[in-house]
Amino acid sequence: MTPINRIVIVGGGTAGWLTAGLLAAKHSQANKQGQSVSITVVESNSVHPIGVGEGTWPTMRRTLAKIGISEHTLITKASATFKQASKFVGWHHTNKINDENKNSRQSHYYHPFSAPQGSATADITPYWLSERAGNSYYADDVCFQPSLCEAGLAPKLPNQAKSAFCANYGYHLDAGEFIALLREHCTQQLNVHHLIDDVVNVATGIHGIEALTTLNNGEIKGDLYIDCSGFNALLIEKALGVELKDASHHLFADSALVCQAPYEQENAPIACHTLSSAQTAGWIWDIGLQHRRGTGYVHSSAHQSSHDALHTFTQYLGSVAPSLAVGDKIREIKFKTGYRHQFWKQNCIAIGLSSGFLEPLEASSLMLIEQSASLVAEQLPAHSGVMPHVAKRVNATLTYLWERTIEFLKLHYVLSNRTEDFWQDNRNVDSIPARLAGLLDEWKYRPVLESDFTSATEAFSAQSYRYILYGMVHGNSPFCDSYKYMHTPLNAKFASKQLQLNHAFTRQLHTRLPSHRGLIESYYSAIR
Amino acid sequence: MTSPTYVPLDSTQHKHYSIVQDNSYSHAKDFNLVNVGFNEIASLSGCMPLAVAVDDTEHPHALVAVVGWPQFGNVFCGQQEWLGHALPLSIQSYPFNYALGEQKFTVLLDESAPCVSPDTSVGVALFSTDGQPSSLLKAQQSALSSLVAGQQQAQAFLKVLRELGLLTRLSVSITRQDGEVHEAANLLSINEEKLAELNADTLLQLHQQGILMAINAMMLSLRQYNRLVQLTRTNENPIEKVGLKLISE
Repeated sequence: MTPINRIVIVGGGTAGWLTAGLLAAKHSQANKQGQSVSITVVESNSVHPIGVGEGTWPTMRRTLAKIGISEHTLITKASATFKQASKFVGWHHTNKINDENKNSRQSHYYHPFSAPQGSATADITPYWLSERAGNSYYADDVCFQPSLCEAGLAPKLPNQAKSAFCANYGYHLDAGEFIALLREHCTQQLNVHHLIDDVVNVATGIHGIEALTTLNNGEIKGDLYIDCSGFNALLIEKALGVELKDASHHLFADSALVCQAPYEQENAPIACHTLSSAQTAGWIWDIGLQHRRGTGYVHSSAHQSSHDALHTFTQYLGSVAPSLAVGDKIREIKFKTGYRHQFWKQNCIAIGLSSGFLEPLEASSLMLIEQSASLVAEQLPAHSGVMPHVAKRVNATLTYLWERTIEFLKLHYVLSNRTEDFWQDNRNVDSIPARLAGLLDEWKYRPVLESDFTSATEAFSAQSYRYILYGMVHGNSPFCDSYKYMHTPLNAKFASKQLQLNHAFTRQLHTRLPSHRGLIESYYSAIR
Repeated sequence: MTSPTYVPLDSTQHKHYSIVQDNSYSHAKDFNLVNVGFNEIASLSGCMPLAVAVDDTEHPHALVAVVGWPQFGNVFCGQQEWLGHALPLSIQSYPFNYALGEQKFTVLLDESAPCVSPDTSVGVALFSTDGQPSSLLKAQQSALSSLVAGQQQAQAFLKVLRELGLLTRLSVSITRQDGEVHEAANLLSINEEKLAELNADTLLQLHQQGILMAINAMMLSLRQYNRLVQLTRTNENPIEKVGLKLISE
């Protein structure tokens, strides 16, 4: 039995450095027996991050706190901005809103990070379905955050005390700058060893990986290897032979065209949400960073030719950044949707793109890295003898997480009523994961329940499902009639009070919160 | 202090302006009386005496908070900070003010105020570079809105007090450590006897309008003269004693 004292991480992208940070923050100090865990990141100099802007979940705040990186550092050193929600535009066609003010709205809905008003006490959805569905927008009625996003307002006041109100938020990041920040922090503050080198050979034996051979630093040995080598999957696939479990029959996209677009004016407002606009054969993400926006068209090459996809993307770019000379600024990325049959095999675990890939529809990529790395940091086996037990549990947890994430992403497609082939194929029964199909059947007869999602490591809560489901359905949808089958009262007094409170709270926040750019600028101002 | 130069706040003209926050509110260091709104009575009455000021024709014209005496200036203005737990909105909203036109509320900025800077290299910006109001400016705009509402309500409140004859002259005398005595009777307060004589219907009505609570708060607030006395302790010739007398006319 070998003690796990040497961890070698192959790959220095976001996955590699986040994993190094989380592991080092928990294990690099010596224990009472005087032992500490050494963590080495082997990073190739020839691989560069894509850097088109990434969204995080609110979980990133806790992750960075664990690693020891302050929000101030993140904003000023990695050009991060705040993210309060995802806004989905054109995912469904509707003419349900009669309200004059909302008539001009493009069909859109929000998935905000903050919980619905009153949800800590009771779910007011049944009341909403009975009184408001068809005439109003679910997220706007039950949560203040869509309104803040529409007005370009920040999630909180500058320099406020931790106890003060703030809307729930994550970040938008420039991956390249974020990696540089993590690298500097991990090597300077957390004692992580950094080798800039290429792994040229991986020696394997009956216990898994025995050693890595590098171009300039010879042989490197570890007790646990973490594969963060991206799509290369150098250890988990090439060395240990674990293949991807294909999920492209659920999620059809296999290509992304990406582009960095400047703001039309230097001080343009920054969107405080990820904008996700549905297109002919996929959707376009648009993420506001401090000095530019990161955009990409995720699409299915089986449903749209690359020529047409490029046209779709350039048309979008022309509408948001007319002065951008697109030229050679657009790059194409091909990907396979799926995840490993085994994430942890013998003495190796894959984290990040090497573990699988899902389209970035709900920014699940960084979340899965955070979850995987936190799990490894927390459950780090003491020695090789107990490693199989840990591997088994981690594999089960991560498989559950990936499956649930696929289902949640698929939900967005299943509920659409768009008519292009891509969208129709997405509603094909054979393409819908069985568990999701079952829940959708049930939700016609009762609203979404907390108890539909029972795992301790659930990726998406009932709240998220409600925001998507009731954000996309129409007044005459069977999902809107689900309250009619309930045998218990709708608790109308409590529910209508919550809607009023949300309205009042929203108004109050508008009079207090600065613009998103205003909040960002406060981090740079001389006086704090 | 130079006299204020109020100009309408303009997001273009004042785009780069900033405010250096002064926690002691030293611009108010010479004030003795401060206009307050009806909506401030509850919060201020536990911190400073509230009374009614009269104009040149002895007409009761403003609800005020007493923050000092001519001999001492504003006793709440400390070296580093404001020495009370409550702060009148009109002091808080400096260097801003408002003008009311027909249906129009204009925010004014005192460009000559020492805390106002025409660039953002110091202090907190009024606008972010996208031209949106900063949280500081939004807070000031909210304070001004409360101030306007409160001052309008205060006039209605004074009208009720006058009509019911509930105001009477307040005489305040202070005795300083060296024995010097100053007496002033330039304020009005609640006539407790007249209040006690009101019939039940009127009292009920005043209660329902929230006015009775304000009346009681004003009466109780006179005890805060002791707090003002306490705050003169650092003076070389502090107040030893304060005497209050309500003079029925």
